[in-house]
Amino acid sequence: MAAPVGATQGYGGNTPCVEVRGADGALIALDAGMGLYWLGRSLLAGPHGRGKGELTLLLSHTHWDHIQGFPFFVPAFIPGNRMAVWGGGVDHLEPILEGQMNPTYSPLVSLSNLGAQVEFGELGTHPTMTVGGVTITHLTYPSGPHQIVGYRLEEGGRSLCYLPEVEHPSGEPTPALVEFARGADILVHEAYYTTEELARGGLSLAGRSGPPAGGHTSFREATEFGLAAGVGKMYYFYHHPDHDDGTIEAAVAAERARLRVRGAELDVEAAREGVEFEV
Amino acid sequence: MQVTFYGVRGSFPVAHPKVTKVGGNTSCVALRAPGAPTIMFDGGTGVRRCGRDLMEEGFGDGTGEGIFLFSHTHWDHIQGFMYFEPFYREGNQFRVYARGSHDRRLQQVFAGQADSPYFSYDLTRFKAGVEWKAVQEGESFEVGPYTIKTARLNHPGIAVGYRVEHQGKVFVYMTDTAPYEDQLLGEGFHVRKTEKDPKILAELREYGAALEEFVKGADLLLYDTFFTIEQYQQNPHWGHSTPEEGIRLARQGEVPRMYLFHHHPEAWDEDLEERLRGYQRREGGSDLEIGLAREGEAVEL
Repeated sequence: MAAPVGATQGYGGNTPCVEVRGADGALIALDAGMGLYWLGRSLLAGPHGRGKGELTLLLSHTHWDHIQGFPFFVPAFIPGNRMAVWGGGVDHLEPILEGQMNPTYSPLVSLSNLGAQVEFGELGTHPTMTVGGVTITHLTYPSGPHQIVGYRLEEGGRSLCYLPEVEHPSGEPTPALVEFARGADILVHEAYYTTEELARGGLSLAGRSGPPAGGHTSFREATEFGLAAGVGKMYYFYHHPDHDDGTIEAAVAAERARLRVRGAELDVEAAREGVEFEV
Repeated sequence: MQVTFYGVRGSFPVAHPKVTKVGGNTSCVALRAPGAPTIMFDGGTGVRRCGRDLMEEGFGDGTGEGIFLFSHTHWDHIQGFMYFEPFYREGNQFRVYARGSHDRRLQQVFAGQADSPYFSYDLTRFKAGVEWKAVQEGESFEVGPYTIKTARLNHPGIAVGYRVEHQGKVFVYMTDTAPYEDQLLGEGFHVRKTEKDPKILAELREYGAALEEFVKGADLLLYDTFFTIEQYQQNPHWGHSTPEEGIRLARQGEVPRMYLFHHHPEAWDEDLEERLRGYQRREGGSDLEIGLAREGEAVEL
């Protein structure tokens, strides 16, 4: 869930959205959490503000925190803009986003009321696709009881792998995911819990009495995964709403210390809103 | 009675350095009165912290009694519901009121947003007792020691305003609503227009007059001031109002206190504080105190 509290302002409290630009400017967004609103806002000065914009949206799954920005993506209301939406860990994505617009929950009532042209793709029939010069592959994997789609984006021999929610049920890096992420220059991997929280069975969003939240991993497991996959740099992602800046900083410092002791060269950092980097 | 603001933002939760003082959580307001059940107005993301506070107030040992009054079920008003900790403590008792025609259907609306494919919360895992009550705008009812009245608000899909009376004090919670001015909002999708049909203009006047009556004699009016006048003129079909309309309504109803609420996602702390000072200077006085709903603050009635 979004965490609009002062203590998270350093890293940010918006739910997942990552903007990727190809060398030719092709625009890809990974997930449509609340961050998508701010992406949409930043696009208005360019072609998206004039109805000449395009966006490829790749969804990891359709839990609210990964789609809640979609109805607030301003370019979607500007006729002429075109959006292609993929993924979701389900066979049929469109009815789920249509359900998000249902009048019970939204004043938009239906996807047909968006001004932009929105098309839905079936990942199952597109094991590989290209957007501009970017080649996109995906892997559908279980995380707790859910199906998640991970993405790998490559251009000019450089690669980024996006695994926003991951569980490694055995505690060891999941082999199929290791293969998928192997050698990526950048890995975005969740680190929802601290090591201690994961050992205690997680940290419920509804407090100590609330139901445990499965399907997640820790900073330490994320680090081990990055090492196993031999990636260049890893961003810890999907910060828990109750993790304030200090908690995240301490966890990253602990991971860096562990890596130093082992002489490992993996570069790790916590993903921070608004930060741009070259892959 | 004490009214506490846990979430004051409209549309969606805003995590941005320029809203940290007023707050970025979506709608949730709690009303506490000694010896009476706690009332929660709406369950936006602010309800999570509200739940944490209540765990220290009897809900932690399973003896809490609470009432939810939902203005409507648009997502920014229900998105924190499943994170409300007192639901997971056995013994607590809740009655949940929202606009609808069937109690059972109401439960499905809340369960539907919480579970697959949108999330992974199964509301049957609530350990507290929860009774669902569908209400229609215009209905009045008694709950515990409270007398509660409802009014139709001008919002796509229709929202409900609540007037709560207890021991001679009156609180009115009025969001989301446009003024009954340019167009009458109901079911379906609305586009921007200025109404010219005399029949609908008459309806607008009628509903508007009903609201003036509804707020009469309240001690505090919490009102949807999402828009500035200029923003409202661009988007009269969005179902949100302005401070000017809140002030007008408060004066009509001789309401001594009106608080700005349900702030626009990009109404930054500085903007809101500056606008507040302007309204206080120009419109406030001994007969009308104008305030700003800030997350974490409370008002005594």
